[in-house]
Amino acid sequence: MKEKKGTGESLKRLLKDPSSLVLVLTSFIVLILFVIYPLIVVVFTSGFDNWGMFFSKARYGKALLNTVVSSSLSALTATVIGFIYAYAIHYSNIAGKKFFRFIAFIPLLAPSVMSGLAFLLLFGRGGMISHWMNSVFHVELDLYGLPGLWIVQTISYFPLAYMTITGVLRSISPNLEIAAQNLGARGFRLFRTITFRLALPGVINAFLLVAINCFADFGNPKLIGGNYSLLAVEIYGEIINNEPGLASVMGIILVIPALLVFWVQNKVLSKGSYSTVTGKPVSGLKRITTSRKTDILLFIFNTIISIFIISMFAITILFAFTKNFGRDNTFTLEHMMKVVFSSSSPAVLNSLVLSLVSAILAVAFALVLAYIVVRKPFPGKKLLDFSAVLPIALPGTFVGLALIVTFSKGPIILQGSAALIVIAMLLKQMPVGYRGLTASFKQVDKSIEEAATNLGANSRKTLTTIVFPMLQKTVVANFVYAFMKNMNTLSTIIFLITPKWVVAAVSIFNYAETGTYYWAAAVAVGLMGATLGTLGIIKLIFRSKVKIFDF
Amino acid sequence: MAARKKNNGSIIILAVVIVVLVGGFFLYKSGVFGGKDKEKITVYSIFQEEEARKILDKFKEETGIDYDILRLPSGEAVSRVQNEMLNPQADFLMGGPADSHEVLKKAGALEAYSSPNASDIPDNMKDKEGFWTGFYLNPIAIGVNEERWKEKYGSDPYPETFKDLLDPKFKGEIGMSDPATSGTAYTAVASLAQVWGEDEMLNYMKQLLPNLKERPKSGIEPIQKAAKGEYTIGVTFLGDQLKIKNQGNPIHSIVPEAAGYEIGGLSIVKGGPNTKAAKKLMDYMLTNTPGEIYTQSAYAVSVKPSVPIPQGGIDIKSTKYNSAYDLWKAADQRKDLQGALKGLR
Repeated sequence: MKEKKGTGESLKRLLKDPSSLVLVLTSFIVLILFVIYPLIVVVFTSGFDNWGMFFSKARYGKALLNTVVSSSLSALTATVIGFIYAYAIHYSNIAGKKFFRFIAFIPLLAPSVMSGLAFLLLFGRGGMISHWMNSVFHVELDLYGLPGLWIVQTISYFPLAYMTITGVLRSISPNLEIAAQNLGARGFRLFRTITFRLALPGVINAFLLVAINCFADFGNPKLIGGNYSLLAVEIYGEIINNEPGLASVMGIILVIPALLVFWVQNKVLSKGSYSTVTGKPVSGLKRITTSRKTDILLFIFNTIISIFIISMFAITILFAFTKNFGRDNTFTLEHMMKVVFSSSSPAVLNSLVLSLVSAILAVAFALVLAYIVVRKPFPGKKLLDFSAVLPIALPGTFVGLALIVTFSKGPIILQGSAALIVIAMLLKQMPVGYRGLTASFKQVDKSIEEAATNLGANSRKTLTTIVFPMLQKTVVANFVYAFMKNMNTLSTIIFLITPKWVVAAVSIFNYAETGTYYWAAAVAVGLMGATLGTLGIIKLIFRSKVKIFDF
Repeated sequence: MAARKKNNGSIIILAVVIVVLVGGFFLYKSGVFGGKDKEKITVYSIFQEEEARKILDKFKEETGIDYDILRLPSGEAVSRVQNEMLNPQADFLMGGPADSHEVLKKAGALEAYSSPNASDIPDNMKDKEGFWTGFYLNPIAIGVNEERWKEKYGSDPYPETFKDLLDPKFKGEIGMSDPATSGTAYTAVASLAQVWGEDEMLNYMKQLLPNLKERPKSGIEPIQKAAKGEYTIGVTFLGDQLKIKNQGNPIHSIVPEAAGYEIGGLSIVKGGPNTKAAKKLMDYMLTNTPGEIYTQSAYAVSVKPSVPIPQGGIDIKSTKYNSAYDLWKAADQRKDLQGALKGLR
């Protein structure tokens, strides 16, 4: 069947199919209302005076410079560590690979601000390790500011780099490396000229991803940054000070590099890449592995990283279950009862409910969007596609800022309702699902759907009986991803919290900031428990259909 | 949104369970279940959450009114209540310096209520029209970690005045919260501006900056960190210092000349979801029990003469604090001073 082209024609066909029309219109309304409209409001709120103010006061310039410096440093180390870690798992003969994969997975269970909390408990000037260093070596650890931030961001974002790089390493064909070996390349030369060259686009991609995440990170800079002020923290200050204009200016500045990275990823990297970034293992000959000596070094490296991560989780658990760890090590459930299992302190429960709702809505919406964009002809498709993907490039801090600035005044007021939190989470996660599902839709042959249509099914029936079952795996995977991200998000929702809907990540941050460390730790443990529990239930239901605990 | 039907029984069951649970939870939150005996009050607390929860748990025991609480630094609480004036989220604002409440009163965000229990509170510690009522009194103090002091400065005398803190030997050894967001630090600088004049205060702060290790958002943090040995000196309210000292930390407190003080206030948000319960809470707060709970754990001085000075607390009448501190003037100047302070750094 040859499709007729042209706006008029597609509009006519759409009007004949009311259920599709409803889907298209709803999608447009939602995206325009929550993506395009807030963007416009933020740009108009920023105003010339505020731009002038931003560039005239030294405080802001310094924050910008600090942000650039710290994000670049953290991204660099996170990428290097992620690369070595992934290389050890995929190219060496070391023992305990499964364990190392598991270790790189666990930081995803906790909000990145938990790394900041654990860091304070270990390396803060009153922390465990700094205390020990002081009493044994008389060395005074002072890691507040850039050094601490650098370490914490490296640790909390290295799993992201590791995963991105893993995808690339797995897609490198061993055949090429063997060919190079036959031509005389050995050891480091082989690594430098072939493996690293082929992995480079992925490595750059990982670097950029980590960099924009650090750029907009809010919790860790606020906890550990000390005097080292950063843009995301300054935005928070201006929102508190009731200066939405200044906050908007800084928000826009935060977005620019993120958009640049987004553009680079889409245009430059895809053209210059030597291998695809699908993450599918490449079949072929057996991969050449590293020498015994290198193995030992890699094993030591991965062990050190693992110890670091394990100790961060261990100290958090110790604080959660003792009266006041370090001073009074009596076991107690008091903290858990007070801040996790109390009707007056529903933060963990709130997180769970809001994350579930938002993840379900995000996947459902992504599904609808992917369906109409791939399958239905209608005018304005480019715009819809663009505004559906756009939020992926917007830092969480900016999304929260835009929503609070837009919906606390003006014609639509949503401030103070849980809806705004759900929407913010949805906007951040929906694009990921949308991209994945668009790809899946394209793989499902259109002729199957056409057959159903010919047999008399309307588009709703086709959708529910043919398309969705075929997409189940992608749907569940995206739901799990969105859920985990939602549970742990802080910067996206920090502006949107209401007293009724305090969420766990915010509680951890608040308690950590006011020094109530045992409560912060208790909430963190409760949050991880809730995430694990939910994932366990999903795993029980879908069994082998979904990969959650397979590393 | 399209219905997501699947040919898979377990998914449908899961979906139903989730919908029921989530729906139930939302209904529970909005108070549909339980009716009157499940009454709830929403509190913005500028107190440390631990203390606020202690009091609110007692209140819950006595009245059966449950609570939602969000702890905020005072600056944040003020802008939150102001921003929410069209659609108030909270019923009650607990703690925070009186000038914050004064800002909200001027903005028309508060409900006037003169509790019968407020009659024995001195007139300069409550709003005449009843928009806010004082709860405790607390001067700014310089808190020194005695152990770290000994390591760093040996037997040098402790700083006695604000200007002593300018000594270059204290570089990176002082913590003071950011006057632009913290009520604590703002009280300190507003009092200095009243005693010294605005220019000298700004000049002083500019000179002080190099010595500051950090300027956290929340007022209590500097002394917590000083106590942990992260730095030597924390400028905070005296009550916070005494509290930490009584936990067994080596803290020595000095109330310097020209030290401002906060009157911790209580107020009722106008048009909040449960104003009736808020008035009950106000009456309850001004009985002796909350006063004792708070002064004992926060080591502040109650505004009520009937509440005793807690064990380990000190009588501030014996110190040289700025007794003429004009908190109404401080509230008026807040925006200007904070704007000028932001220009530093």
